[in-house]
Amino acid sequence: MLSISVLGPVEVRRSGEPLTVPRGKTSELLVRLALDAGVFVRTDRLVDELWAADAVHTSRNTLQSKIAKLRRALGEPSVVISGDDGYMLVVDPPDVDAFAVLRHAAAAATSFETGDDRGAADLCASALKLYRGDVLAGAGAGEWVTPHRARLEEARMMLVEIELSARLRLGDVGDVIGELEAAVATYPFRERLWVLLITALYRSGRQADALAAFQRVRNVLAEELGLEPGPQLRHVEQQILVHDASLDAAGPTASALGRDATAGNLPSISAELVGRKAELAAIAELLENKRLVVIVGPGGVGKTALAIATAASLTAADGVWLARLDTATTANDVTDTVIATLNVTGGEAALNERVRGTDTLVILDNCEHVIDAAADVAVRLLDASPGVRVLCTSQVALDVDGEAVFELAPLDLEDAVELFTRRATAQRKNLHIDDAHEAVHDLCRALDGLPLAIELAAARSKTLSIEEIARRLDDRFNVLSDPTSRRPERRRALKATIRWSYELLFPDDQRGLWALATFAGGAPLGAVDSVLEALDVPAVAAIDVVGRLAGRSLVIVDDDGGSTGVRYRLLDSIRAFALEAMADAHLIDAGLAAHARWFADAAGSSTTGVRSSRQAEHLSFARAERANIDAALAWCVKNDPPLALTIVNGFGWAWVVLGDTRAVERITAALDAAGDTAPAGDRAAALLIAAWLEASTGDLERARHHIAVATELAESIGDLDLQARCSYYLAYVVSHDGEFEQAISLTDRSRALYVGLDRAWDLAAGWLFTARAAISASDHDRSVEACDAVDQALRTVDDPWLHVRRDAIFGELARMQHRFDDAIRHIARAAATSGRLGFLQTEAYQLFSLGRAQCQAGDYEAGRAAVQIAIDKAEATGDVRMAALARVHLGRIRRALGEWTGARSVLETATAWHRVAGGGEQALLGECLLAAMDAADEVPGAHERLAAILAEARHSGEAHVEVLALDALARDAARMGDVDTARAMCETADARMDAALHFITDLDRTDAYAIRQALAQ
Amino acid sequence: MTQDGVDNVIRQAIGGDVDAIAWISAHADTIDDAVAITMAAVLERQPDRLDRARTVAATSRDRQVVAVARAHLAGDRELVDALARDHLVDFPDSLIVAWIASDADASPRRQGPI
Repeated sequence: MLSISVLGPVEVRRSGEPLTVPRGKTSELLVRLALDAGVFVRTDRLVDELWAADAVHTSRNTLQSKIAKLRRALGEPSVVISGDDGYMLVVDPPDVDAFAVLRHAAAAATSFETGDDRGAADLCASALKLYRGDVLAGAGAGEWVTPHRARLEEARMMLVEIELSARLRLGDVGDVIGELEAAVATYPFRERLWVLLITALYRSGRQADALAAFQRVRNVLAEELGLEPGPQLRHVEQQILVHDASLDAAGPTASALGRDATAGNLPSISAELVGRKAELAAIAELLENKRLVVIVGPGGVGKTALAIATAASLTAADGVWLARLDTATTANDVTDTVIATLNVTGGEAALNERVRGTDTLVILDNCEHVIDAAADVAVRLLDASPGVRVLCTSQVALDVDGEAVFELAPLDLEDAVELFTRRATAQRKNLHIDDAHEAVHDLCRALDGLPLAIELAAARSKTLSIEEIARRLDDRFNVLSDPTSRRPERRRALKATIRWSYELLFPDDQRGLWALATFAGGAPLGAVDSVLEALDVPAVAAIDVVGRLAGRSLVIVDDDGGSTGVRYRLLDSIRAFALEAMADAHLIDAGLAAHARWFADAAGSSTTGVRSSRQAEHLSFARAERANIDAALAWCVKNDPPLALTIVNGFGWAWVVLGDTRAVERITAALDAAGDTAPAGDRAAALLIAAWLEASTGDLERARHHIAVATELAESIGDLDLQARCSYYLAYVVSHDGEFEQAISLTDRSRALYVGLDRAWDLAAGWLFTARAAISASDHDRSVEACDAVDQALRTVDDPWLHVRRDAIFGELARMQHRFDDAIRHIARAAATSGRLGFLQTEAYQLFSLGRAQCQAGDYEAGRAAVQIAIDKAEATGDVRMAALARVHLGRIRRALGEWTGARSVLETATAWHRVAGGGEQALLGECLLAAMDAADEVPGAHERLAAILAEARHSGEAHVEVLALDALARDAARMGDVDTARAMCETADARMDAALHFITDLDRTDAYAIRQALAQ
Repeated sequence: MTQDGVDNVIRQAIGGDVDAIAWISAHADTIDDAVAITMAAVLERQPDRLDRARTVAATSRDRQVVAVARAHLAGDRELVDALARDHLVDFPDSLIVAWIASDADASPRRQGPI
C-alpha cells in the first residue's frame, strides 16, 4: 500500500518502507497529482501549473519524461496512469496526508459542536501530528500551490482552535494557557486564538491578565494592521468587564469559533430556484475572489432570487444581510435601510462599527434607481472592514473600481419551461403539461424566458388552460407590439405580462395592488386593509384580497418569524405599475393619505408603548417601518403638515431610544412645513424631541435654542405639562455642559409644575436627571434623596430604558459613597442590559461609569479597557460629547498608569474638542491634566494655566480638579526649589482629597507621588 | 320581502321566469340586494345600475358578481370568462355568475308564477 505525505517534505512509503522521489519537478509533479489523488489531471493543466512562465516552451515530452521518472521512483508504473489527455495518481485519497487532515478537521468540528469534547480533542491532536513543518514544502514555489497551501494552513488553524477549545471545555485550563500563548505568538492576527486565551485566563482567575491580553491584541492589530479588534474579541472583553456568568460556565461554543450560521436576515424559506446552477456557481466563485459583485440584468430576470440563493450557499461567520433598496429614494434612505437591516442602533458610524472586523456578506438589492448612493454605501462598507463582501443586484453596474459585474441573462428555454411547469402544476395538480408541450414552449419563448413573467402567466393556470393563457398573452403582445418603440423588447414583455395579469383581476384586487403600492418596503395586513378601505373596498371584502393577490404571484409574503410578523410587499416592477394605475384612476392621493393616516394612528401609541414593558415590540415597529414612516412624512409635509407633526411627535421618543439621529431632519422638515399655523403644543413637543436628539449628539447650542422656543410656546398656551417637560429636557441639556446646579433647579421646577398632573413616567425621568446632576455636583444628600425618589417613582413605571438607568444611577451613588464593589455590580448590570436591549448610547455612558468605578476600586487596567470601549461606542453612536468626556477620564487613567504618551494624546483630543464646543462636562479636568503634564515637561506657560485652573476649580467647587492642580503646582514649585510652597500646596491638596475621593484616587495624584519622593530625599 | 324570498326570486329569474324578472326590474331602484340590482342591470342592459349595486355590495362574493356583470355589459367576453372562472372556484354555487357567463341576456325567458 502506498502512502504519500505532503504536509512537509515529500515522503512516500510502500507498506511502511520509504521510497526516494527525485527532488525538483518530479517531486512537484507527485505533490500536484497527490492533491487530486484518484482523479485525472489534464496534461495542459499540469504543464501550465508546474512550468508556469515556461509552459509555452515546455513540450508534453518533458512532462512525459517526468512521469516516467516518477513511475520508476514509485516502483510501479500502474500507480500513475494516463488517460484522455491527462494523468492520475492511483492512490486512495485517505492515504494522502493532506486529505486525511481535511477529513479529520471536519469530523473534529462535528464532534465539538455535538459536545464530544474528548473525541474532538483527540481527533485534532492526531491530525496535527501529520503536519511536519512547512505545508507542501516539496511542491515548489509555483502559483498553483498557493490556494492548496492556504486551505491546508486554514485546516491546521481550525484543528488548533478546536483542540484548545475542547480542552478548555474539559477544564484543562492550565496547560491550554501556555499553548495559547505560544499560538498567539506564532499567529498574532488570529483573533479566535486570542478569544480563547482571554477566556482561559479569565477562567483561571486571572481577570487582569485577561484584560491585558485584550490590550495586547488591540495593540498588535492597531500597530500592524491599523485595525480595531473584531466583534468576538470585543464581546469577550465586555463579558469580562461585566463578569458575565456564561464566561465561567461553558467553554467557547461553535459560534466562538466563528461558525454561527444563524446570523443574518435571509428569508428562511424562499422560492425554489429553477435552473441557474451555473450562474449560482459563477457568482459564488466571484465572491470568493472579489469583495464587490454586481448581478446586472433587466427587471424580472430573477436577480434577487439568484442573489439570495447564492448568499445562502456561502458562509459568512457574521451573517448574510439582505437590504432591499426598492423604496429608497435618497442617499440617506439607502444608508438608513442598511442600518435598519443590520439592526444597528445609531447612525452610519454605528454601522461601520457594527461590521468592523467581521466576516459579513451584505446584499444590496435593487440598486438601479439609487445607483450612486448604493455605490457609496457599498464602498464605505468595504472600507470599514476587509472581511465584508457586498453583492448587489441592479439593472446597471455600480461603476466602482474593483467591482465584478455578472450579467444575468433570462432563463434558457428548457429552464423556462421547467419553471412554468412547476408553478402551473402547483396551481392545478391535475394539469397535464405534456398535452400542451408546444404551447408551453411557445409561451415561454414569447415571455422571453423572464422568470417573473413566467410566474405571472403560470399563476393563471388554476382557471385558464395553457392554450388560453398562451393565446390571450399572444393577443396582448400583438396589441402592445410597437415597432417604433425604443424600449427593450424584454421590458415590454414584462410590462405587458404584468398588465395582462392585472387586468384579469377583480376591481377590489386591483385596488389591493394600489393599496400595497402606497407602502415603502411592505406592510402588515392591518395597514393594507386600512388603505383598502380608503380606496372604497369595505373591510369585510378586504379580508381576502391580499391572499388572492399572493395566489396570483403578485404579492410577496415575508415572514421572518421575528417580531415584525407577516408582511406583504410588491416586487418593484409590479409596484411601479400599480402606482401608475392608481394615478390613472386619480386615487393616488386618497391612497397616500390613508397610508399617512395609518402611520399617524400608529404613532399615537408609540411613545406610551416604548415607555412600557412592551418596549421591544414598539421599538421593533418603529425600526421596521422606518421607510413607511418616512414616506408618510414626505406626503404629509406636502399635503398635511399638521399630520406630519402628529407622526414625528408620536414616534419621536422611539427615535430617541433607538438613537436615530437622522430623526432631527424629519422633525425639522415637519416643523418647517407646519409653520406657525400648527397648534403651539404640537410644535413645542416636536421642538423638545429635536432638542433631545441634538443634545445627545453634542449640538447643545441648537438644543438650547429649540427648548427656549418650545418653552415660549408652552407658556403662551398655558400648558403646564409642556412647561414641565421643557424644564427637565433643559436639565438634560445643561447637564451635558456640566451645569449641574442649574440642572437640579430645573428638575425641581419641573416637579413643581407636575403637581396635580398624572405624569408618573416624566416624574421618574425627572428624578433620574436630578440624581445624575446631584451626583455629578458631589451633592451627597440630594443624590441620596433623588435616588430614593427614583426607586419610588419607578415602582409604577415599567420602562426597561428607565430601569436600566436606575441601576446605573444606584451604581453612581455607590461610587460616591465609596462602595466601589456595589458600584461595579450595579453599573455592570446596567451596561450589560443596555447592550442586550440595543441602547448603545446608554451602554456607552454606563461602560464609562463602570470604568471609573473599577479605577476607584483599584483596578485601573480594567477601568482603562472599559472607558476605551465606552469611547468606541460613543463615537459609533455619534455621541461625540460623551466621547470627549470619556477621553478626559481615559487620559487621567493612562496618566495614573504611567502611559504618558497615550495620556497626552487622548487629553489633547478631548480638550481640543471642548475648546471648539465652548466647554462641556469635565472640560476643566481635561485642561488641568494637560497643563499638569505640560508643567512636568517644563512647557512654558503651563504654570500660569494651572494657576488659572485652580482658581476656576475653587470657584466651581470641583474638588478633584483643585487637588490635581495643587499637586501639579506643588511639583512645579519643588522643581524650582521652593520646597516650602510645595509642601504647603501638597498639604492643602491632601486636605481637599476627602471631597474628591468619589472621583479620584491616590493613584491619580502622580505629581503628589513625585513630590513626596522628592521631599523625602 | 325577506332575503330568502329575494334569493328565490333571483333563482326563478335566472330560470327565465318572466314574473320574477319583472319583479326584479320593478324593485331594482329600491331594494338593497346587490345581486338583485346587478341582475336588473344585466337584464335591462343598464350599466349605471351597477354603481348602486357596488355601493350596497359588502362581501367579496357580491362585489365580484358586480364586476363580472360590468365586464359583461362592456362586452368584454374574455374578461367575463376569466373573472367568472375565478369567482366560481371560490363560490361554485354562484348561479348568477354562471348565468352571466353563459351570455345571460340572450337566455330564453319563460312565463311562470313568482
